Amino acid sequence: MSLYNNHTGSRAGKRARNTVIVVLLLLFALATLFPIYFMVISSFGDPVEAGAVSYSIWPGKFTLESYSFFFNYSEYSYRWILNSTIVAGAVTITNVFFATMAGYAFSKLRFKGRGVLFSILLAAMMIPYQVTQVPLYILIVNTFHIENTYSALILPGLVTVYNVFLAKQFMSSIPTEIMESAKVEGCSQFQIFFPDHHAVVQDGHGRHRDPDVHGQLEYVLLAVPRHQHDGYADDPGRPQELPVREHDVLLPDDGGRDDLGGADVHPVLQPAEVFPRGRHRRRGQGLIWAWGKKERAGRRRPGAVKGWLSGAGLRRVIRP
Amino acid sequence: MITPHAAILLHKRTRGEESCTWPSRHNRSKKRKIKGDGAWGYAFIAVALIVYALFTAYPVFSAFLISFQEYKPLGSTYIGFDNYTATFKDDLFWKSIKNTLYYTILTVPVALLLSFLVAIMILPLRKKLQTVFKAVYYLPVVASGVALSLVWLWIFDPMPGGIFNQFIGWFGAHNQNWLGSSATAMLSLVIMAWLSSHGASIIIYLAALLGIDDSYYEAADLDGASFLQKLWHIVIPSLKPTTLFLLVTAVIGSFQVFQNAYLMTGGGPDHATTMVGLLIFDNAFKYFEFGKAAAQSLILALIIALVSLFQFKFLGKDVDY
Repeated sequence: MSLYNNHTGSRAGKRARNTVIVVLLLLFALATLFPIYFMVISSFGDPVEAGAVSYSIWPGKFTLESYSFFFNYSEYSYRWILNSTIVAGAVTITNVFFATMAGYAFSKLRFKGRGVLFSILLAAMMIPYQVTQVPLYILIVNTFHIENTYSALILPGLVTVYNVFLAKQFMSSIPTEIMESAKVEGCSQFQIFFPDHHAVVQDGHGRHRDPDVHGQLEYVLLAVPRHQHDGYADDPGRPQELPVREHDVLLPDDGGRDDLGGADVHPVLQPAEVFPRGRHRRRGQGLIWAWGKKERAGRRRPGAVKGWLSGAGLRRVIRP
Repeated sequence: MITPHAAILLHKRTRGEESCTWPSRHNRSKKRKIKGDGAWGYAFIAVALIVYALFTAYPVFSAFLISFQEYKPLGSTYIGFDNYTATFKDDLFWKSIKNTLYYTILTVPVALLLSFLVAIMILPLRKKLQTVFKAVYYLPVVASGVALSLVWLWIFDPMPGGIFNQFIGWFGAHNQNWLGSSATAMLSLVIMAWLSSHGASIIIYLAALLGIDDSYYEAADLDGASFLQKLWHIVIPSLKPTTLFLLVTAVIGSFQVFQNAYLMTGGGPDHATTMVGLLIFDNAFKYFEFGKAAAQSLILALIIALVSLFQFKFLGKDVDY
């Protein structure tokens, strides 16, 4: 049951439909990819060929001269690439980190001035960057004295409003119940948000793998619950080792499910597969993460989550 | 016709009313906020706010001050609203506004429609194919915009050997001086925008499509709805927030467009492709009239704000942000 009427057509009909679709998609992809294709084949041509009077769509000859030209052009060629990498890497990490935090707060937490602050942030998206260019330069050079440093490039882009907005949109698709139940479990917002390396889940059968999402580590930082390692509602305050029989850790496709040893799994990658099911013995775990999988896992996932939420699972989460 | 049953529920859903038959996580959770964690809220947004205050709010404020000054290397002088009045009397400014509007109207709807269609077409494919196509369509986004602009310069080469000229030659059309003539320069930029990256919006659309609850389709299927009916009554209403988001950001981006025009035409020929963003850049960094540039950029910001407000007002009635 989906948007497309799979049940009406025969298998052949479905195949024909998909073939048509793929052909159409390829045609459009061809058009959008052409500049890139052209860029690539030009890069393997003679350095002079690009920019000549006649252009050929087909690669004429293969040479790496243009590439060696780039690296011989200046002794700093490698340095340039390194510079880009450093700045891009730093900005990426800080944006994922701070934008998701802010997005979560704007979407899920109630505090004074939330709406006003968010609109002020949003307003910034409408300001052309030309507006801020000159004052920003003056600020960097005259006030902070950080001209000619990486900081000058990184600091202004530490976290962008656009990313905060995106993160907020994403967070708002996560049911608030999840956070609430985690709070009931005694998680602070910090614990709700940040991944925790103790989050190892087993289900009642000591088994939990879902081929649908297997090997996918997207949204790793996007969400984040953790269970209480030492604070079960029914056993408060007492640190307790988990009777771990199987890990729910998702490893790359070779299916290493059981060779992790203990709960010491990778702090960031690991929780991606912590997924709550009604049968879980543990409570309040893997909550928000699961929602992050929704998009990629397609149709089956939301239903699963919803079933979990509305069914016995949620009650189990909340029930002391 | 979609049956009343499904239609009413959909209507209710898009109106944001609670429907008792279908669980609607949108209604349930979107407006709800967690209470009592205000301090955490401030802590979570602290960094974003500080960066914003330092590197956006303060520069804007200072641009506001500059817009009332005549910039001189040694001590600017206060000249009141002169920069603004000069801008409003400037024909070039109005022409650049016109160009920007023209460009926006031609590019944004087409881009959204294309991304929507592509996302719809990717949807029924197998996971692997979906991933392949997502990657393929996202590739141009990853490529450097400057490099792409240069490639497009080659493509639009006015000589008969130019790729686009070769292409239209197959259909018997004559050579065009694409970027060099004021008749086709803007069209060239528009064509480039059409065929450039829709990757981000395709992926956002696809994500939203996958997020639509299956129960709607199921109900529609029970009622015997056709593909188009489902598209019209389920998909399009459900994607409204996504569309609005993409529309607003695309319009803003298009109003601020600068790079393509700067690299490919430099605003010429005969200012046929001078966009507001380019005009501001020229005023600031070519003529060093920072005061005028600041005034114009604030006017542009105001226009963008009004347009965005308009979109939210008229398209965002049912959308909760």
